[in-house]
Amino acid sequence: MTAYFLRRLLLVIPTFIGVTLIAFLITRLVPGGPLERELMQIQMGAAGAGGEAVGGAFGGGVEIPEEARKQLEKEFGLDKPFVVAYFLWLGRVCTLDFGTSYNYREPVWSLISERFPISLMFGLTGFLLGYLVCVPLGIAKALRHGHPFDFVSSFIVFVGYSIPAWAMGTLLLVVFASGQFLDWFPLGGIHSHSFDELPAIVRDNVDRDAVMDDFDELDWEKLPFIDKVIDVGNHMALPVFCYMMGSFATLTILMKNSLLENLGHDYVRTAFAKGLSPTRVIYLHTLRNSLIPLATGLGHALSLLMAGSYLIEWVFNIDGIGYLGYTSILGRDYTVVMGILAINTILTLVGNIISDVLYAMIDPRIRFQ
Amino acid sequence: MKTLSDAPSEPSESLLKRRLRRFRGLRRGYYSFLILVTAYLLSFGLPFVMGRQALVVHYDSQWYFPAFRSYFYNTFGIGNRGLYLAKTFEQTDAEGKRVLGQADYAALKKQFAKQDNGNFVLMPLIPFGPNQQSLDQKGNPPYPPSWQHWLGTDDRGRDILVRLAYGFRISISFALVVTGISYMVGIAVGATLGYYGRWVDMLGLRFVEIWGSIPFLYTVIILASLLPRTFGLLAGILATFGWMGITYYIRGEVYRERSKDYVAAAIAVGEGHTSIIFRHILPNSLTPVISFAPFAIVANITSLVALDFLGYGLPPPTPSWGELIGQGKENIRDWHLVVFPLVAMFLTLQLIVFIGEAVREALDPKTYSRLR
Amino acid sequence: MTDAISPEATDEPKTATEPVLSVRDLHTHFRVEGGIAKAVEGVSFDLFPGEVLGIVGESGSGKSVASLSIMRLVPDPPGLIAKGEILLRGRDLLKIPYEKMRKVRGGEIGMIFQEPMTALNPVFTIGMQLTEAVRVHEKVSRAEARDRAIEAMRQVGIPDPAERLKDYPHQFSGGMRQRVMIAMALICNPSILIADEPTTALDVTIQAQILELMLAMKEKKAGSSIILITHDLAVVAETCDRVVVMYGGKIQEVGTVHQIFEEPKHPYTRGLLASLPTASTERKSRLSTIPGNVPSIMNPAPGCRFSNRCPEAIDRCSVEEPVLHQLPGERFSRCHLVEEEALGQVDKEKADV
Repeated sequence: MTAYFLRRLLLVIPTFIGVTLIAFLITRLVPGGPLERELMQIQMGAAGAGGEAVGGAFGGGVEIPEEARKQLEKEFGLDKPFVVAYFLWLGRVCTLDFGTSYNYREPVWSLISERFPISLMFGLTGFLLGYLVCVPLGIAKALRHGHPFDFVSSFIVFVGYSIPAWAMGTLLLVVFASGQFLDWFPLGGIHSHSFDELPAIVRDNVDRDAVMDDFDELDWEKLPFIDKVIDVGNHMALPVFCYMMGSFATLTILMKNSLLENLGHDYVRTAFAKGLSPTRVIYLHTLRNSLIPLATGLGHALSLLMAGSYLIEWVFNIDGIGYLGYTSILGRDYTVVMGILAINTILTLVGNIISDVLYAMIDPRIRFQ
Repeated sequence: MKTLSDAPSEPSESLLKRRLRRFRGLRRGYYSFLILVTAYLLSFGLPFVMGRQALVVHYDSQWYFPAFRSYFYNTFGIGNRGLYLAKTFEQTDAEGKRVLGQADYAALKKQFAKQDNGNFVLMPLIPFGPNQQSLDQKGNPPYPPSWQHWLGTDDRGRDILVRLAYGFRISISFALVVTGISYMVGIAVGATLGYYGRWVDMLGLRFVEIWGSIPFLYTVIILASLLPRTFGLLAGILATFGWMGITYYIRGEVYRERSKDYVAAAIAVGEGHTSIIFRHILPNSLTPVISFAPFAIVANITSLVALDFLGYGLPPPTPSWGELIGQGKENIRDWHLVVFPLVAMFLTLQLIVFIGEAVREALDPKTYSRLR
Repeated sequence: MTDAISPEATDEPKTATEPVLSVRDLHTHFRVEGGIAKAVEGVSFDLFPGEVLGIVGESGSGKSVASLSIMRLVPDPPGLIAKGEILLRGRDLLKIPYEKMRKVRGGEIGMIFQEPMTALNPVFTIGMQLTEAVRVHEKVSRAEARDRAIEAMRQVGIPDPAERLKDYPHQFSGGMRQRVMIAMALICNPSILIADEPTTALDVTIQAQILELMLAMKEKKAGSSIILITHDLAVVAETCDRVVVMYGGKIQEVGTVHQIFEEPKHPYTRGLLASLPTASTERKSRLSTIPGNVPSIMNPAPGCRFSNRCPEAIDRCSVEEPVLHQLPGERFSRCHLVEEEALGQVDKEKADV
């Protein structure tokens, strides 16, 4: 068993190399990369600044000196052949050195680790809420299969399935945050940036002057702890709901079907034939078996937890890892993109293994193979 | 109790017929199927219901049918510039020379009505094309729902109902194409891995795993921002990153079927590998694949909407649900930009989900028994 | 559906002992696609203390459903006990409240099933599954329950029981698992054991061991009885005292093992017996089979259920449903031939006079 998981762990390495190699190749092959952008900016800058002086001489464009070009190529690691550059990158990644962001001019690792808690906070809360709601709901639906309760709750499940979580997010913003209908929640972000943005309870609670800085701007850090919590909670409500809805339909249906299927198994009949109560048969014998497929999902969710959903973070302007990754792709900030990709790949692959470990922990048939 | 519920009521009925009968018996799914197929087929006649081209023009005792062929504006004897479509509809020919656009039938209609001399124009029920901007209302678009624009307009003054309807056709077509391609690739790869096994399987699986670990939307965004974004290319990209799910499944099925006696028998009588895979193994493994298809279509529509939302989907001005939701995010107070596309999406996907459930139920009927 | 002669009406003084279990006119239906399948239709039989009663029939004859009905374990949906009485020492099990029924299950009637592979919960240890069977019926401590489980496992011949309590079902072989099932069914000393095809899934060599074990366990508790459901007449011959033969959801013949094997009174029973290999069967001769398949229980044709496969069928058989005729010596047969024969007998007697 241990040997099996060790082998699985070893197999992560070739897969990781494969994924990052392909991604690296794409960033290299595809035009419009950071070098081109930089060159273009220099050209535009030069043309703008010294337009009259040199414009005529160079015929509209600016020829970039070979030396400067080389300098830039070196900076972007484009001076070396592809494979060499890749393995240099890989070597640095092994020491957690992901390079420097082109756009932020900051180490990629610090960019990621700053945003990591943010994504985790949203993802984990939504994820836990998802299991807390979906497992009992799935059980209730299975036990009332075909009854009115099952039909009515199916409607929520259908909505969850047919409307992707991020799209639901825009709807929630329109309804609950735009002020057009209700103005219960803020439009996005992690906490308030102005006094008026704070939830009403907090505004009533705190002394306005005490939390304002010298420029009469809100200094969020000055808020009492409890008010910080309320403010953050207020910002988290809608996105967390979206995270929950993202897995809602699948989880609920998985739980329901798994339980229903297990209720028809032979061992359930044996348990009843022993005279056990339905409660014990369902909640002990059957539930344990029907949780097996759900445990698998726990590991797979790891990457989502840590990296966040860029669509949801985009909709709610949450400056987490997903948002960083998305804006970095748009900005061709390939060191950041590759860094996030590397971490994400590792998390996904390790998540798969964790799923299998959990599977083995619940199902003794696998444990002893 | 599977054996009992599967008992054929008429032994002579073929499996396929029985499944079809069962599917028709599942009314929710069957009606959803009829509604969706009808709506999709009808959507090819959308220009007759929603469009800027008149259905019929009666002019000087002559009949014209602009919906079927185009006429120059001067066909109707009007030199007034205001009566043919504005700049956007002036087309340029191959040499870049400006050619005169078609008549503006809505304006022509008004003109005829004013003249009142027996000429008339019959417009479609909703006289707006998907890309037609109507900026004639007060203020700036997006305009809220009104009698003129039932669901309002988007931020360029284009009618939302019309764009949703055209978006429906495009979404379904797109998802069908993507699902088709990815199924073909997935089934081919899966069958190969499962059939040949050994090192082919080992290497292939690793490749599939690597391919599946590449974050698909990242790659799509990078590729889509460089290559000319056409329907075909986008469908190709999505399919390129969407075939892995079915591969694992087919591989497992084929692997299991491969070891059965009838395959050994087929090999023994000298049948070729391809023939064995296509004539013997695949037909036995395909049934569950069919029941996955509706859910794959749902997933592909969702992907398209997400890409359009981010601005990396089909190129503008293609009518698109995701693009509207994106506009809604930018204009958060214009609720109709978000609500109506979501309703359209919900209804469409819901129909497909109902179909999917019924197909699965028809292929593999389950009676969940309860003991107490 | 009323039978002219039902077994209860004609109890002979020979069975002075009261039956411990009486099934009366049991109807169990399944609601399936396209109608109602009458899996059990008007079945009545008695189980007497100390006896082993065999219920024999092909798959689909309704024998398993009948036994599940006794335990109220018919899966619902689609199954439903439509009608009948199941009297355990006079109490109708179909009428008692659910909590009382739970006491019966495992407490008064133990049951073991065909598939030892799937009948045990894969995610719990054997020890847990055995002890919970004790603790649901008796107020005993954990330690006591554990001792009982060890004892039960020793009795069914599982070596090293204390250690094996910690094992999971998949760590046992098929035969060992069926022993665990027997231990579990008998751990609360029920007076009736229902065994539904207990040996079908096992190797032939293991089959005999399991059957012997079941009989030995029965001997340990005076007055306890077994209902053995099987399609295998050889098993019946080795173990049973009396036999009920079922076909198409109905009882076709009832008699002692001796009567059934020596002098079968129903063509179906004769067919079953003919398909048994015997020592005298010539090596080259083919084993006889009953042609055709079990008829659909959805839309049964009029007349005798077996008529379409019966080699001895007469015109009457496909038109008129025979009743369960009582014959001398506590015997019953649902066959027109019995009546015809008796009439013939009468004619002969008349002629003699």
